[in-house]
Amino acid sequence: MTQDFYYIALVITLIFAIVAFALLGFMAKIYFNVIRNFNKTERKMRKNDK
Amino acid sequence: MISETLMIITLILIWISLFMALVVVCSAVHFWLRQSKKITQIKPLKRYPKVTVVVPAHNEALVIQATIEAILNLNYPTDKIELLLYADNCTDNTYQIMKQVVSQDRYHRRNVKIINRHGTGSKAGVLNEAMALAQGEYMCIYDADAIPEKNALHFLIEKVLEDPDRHVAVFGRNKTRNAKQNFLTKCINQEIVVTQRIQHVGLWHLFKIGRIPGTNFIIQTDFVKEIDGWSKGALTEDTDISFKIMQSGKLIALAFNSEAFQQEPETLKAYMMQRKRWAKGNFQVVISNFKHLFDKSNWRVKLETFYYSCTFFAFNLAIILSDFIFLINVVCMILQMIFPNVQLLFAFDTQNIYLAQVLLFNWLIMILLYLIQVNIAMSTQMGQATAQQVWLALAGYFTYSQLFIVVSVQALGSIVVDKILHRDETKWIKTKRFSD
Repeated sequence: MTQDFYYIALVITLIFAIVAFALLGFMAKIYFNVIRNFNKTERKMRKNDK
Repeated sequence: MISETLMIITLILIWISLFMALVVVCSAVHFWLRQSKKITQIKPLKRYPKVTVVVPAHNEALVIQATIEAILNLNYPTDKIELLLYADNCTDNTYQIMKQVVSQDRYHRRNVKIINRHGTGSKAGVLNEAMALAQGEYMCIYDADAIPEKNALHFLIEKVLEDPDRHVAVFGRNKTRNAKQNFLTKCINQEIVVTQRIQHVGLWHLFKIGRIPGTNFIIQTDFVKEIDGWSKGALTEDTDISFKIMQSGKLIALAFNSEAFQQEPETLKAYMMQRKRWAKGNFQVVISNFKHLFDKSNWRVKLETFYYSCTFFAFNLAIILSDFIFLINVVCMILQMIFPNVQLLFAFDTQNIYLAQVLLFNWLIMILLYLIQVNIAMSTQMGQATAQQVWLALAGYFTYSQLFIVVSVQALGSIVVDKILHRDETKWIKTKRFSD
C-alpha cells in the first residue's frame, strides 16, 4: 500500500511545489504594483500641492 | 501496518485542509493582481442612507474616548449618523467619559444617545436593544476599542449601494493599532493581515462568502429584525449571524478599503483568553451547522461549514496526530540510546525510504507555502513587505502558530466542561485593554 501511496505523494508534492513557485512570482508582481501605485499617488498629490 | 495507515491518514487530512487554503490563496492573489493596479478614489455616493452607529462598551474607560471621537469625525453627513453609546454593566467610569466627550461644544448638534445599561446578554443583548431603538436604515457596529479611519463608513455604504437588495451586510477590515508593541502583537498583526487580505478577500472574490468580524461592519436594520437579531447564547454572535444571513441567501459583502484600527492583546494570558473564547464560539457554530452539510441548505452555508470543519477539526486532528507520532518517535529514539533493541513505533519500511523523503520534502513545501501566504498578504500593503516580516513569519511558524493547537484543545475541553457543569456562557468575557 505504501508503495502505491509513494506515487500519489510524489504527484501531490509536485503540484504543491509548482503552486508555491507560481505564487512566489505573483507575490513579486503584486509587490511592485503596490509600489508603482504608491509612487503614482505621491506624484499626483505633489502636483496638486503645487 | 497500523502505524503506516495512521501516518497516511494524517497526511491526507493535512492535504485536504491545505487544498482548501490554497484555493482561497489563489483567489486572493487573482483579486490583488487586479486591485493593486487601481488607485482608490473617494467618489460621492448615489445617496446617503441614515446609519445608526452602535458602540457596546463594558468597562472600556481606557479606550472609549478615542473611539467616540473617531466615529464623530467620520467622513459622512453628520445629520445621517445616529450614535448609540452603551455603557453596559460598567464598574469603571466609561459612562462618565462618554458623557464628557459628547458634551464638547463641537459635538453639541450631533445625534448621540448614551445609555447606561444594566441588562443581561452581554454584547448580543446590547445589540438587540440597539436594534429596537435604531432609527437608521443600517446599523453600523464598532467595538469600544475600534478607531475607524475617516472614510471607513463611506466605503461600507458604497459597497452596500452596489447591490442593496443582496448586500444586506458589508464588512471592512481591522488593523492592529498596537502592532509594534512586542513579539506577540507583531505575530497577531501578521495573522490579522493574512486573515483579512487573503482569507476574507479570497472567499469573497471566488465564492461571494463574507464573515461579519464583530466590528467595522454595517447591517440592514430591517433585515436583522427579520432574523430576530443576535443570538444571546452564542459566544461569537458575529459568526452566528453570518450563518443566518447566508442561510437566507443574502450576501455579506467585503469593502476591503474600509479600515478601522483595533487593539490586540499584549500579554499571552489576555491572548489565550480571547482566542479560547473565539475557538469555543467557532466550535459551537460548526457543531450547530454541521447538519447543513447534508441537508438542502444554501451552498454558501455548506461551503463555509466545510471550511470551518477543515480548519477546526480536520487540520487540528491532523496536527495533533502528527505531533503525537513525532513525540512517540522521539521517546523511542531516546530509549534506543539506553536499550538498542527498541524499534521506532512509527516508521516506514526500509524499502519505502523514498516515501519518507517525499514526506520530508512535503513538510518543507508547507513551510514555504505558509511564508508565501504571509508575504503575499504583506505585499498588498505599502511598507509592510519587509525582510523583518519574513523572519518574523518564520519565527512565528514555530512559536505563535503552534498556540493555535493549544487554544483549540483548551476550547474543546472547556466546551465539554461547560456542558457537564451547565456553566453560563452569556456573561461579558472581554479582551483586556491596554493604554496607548
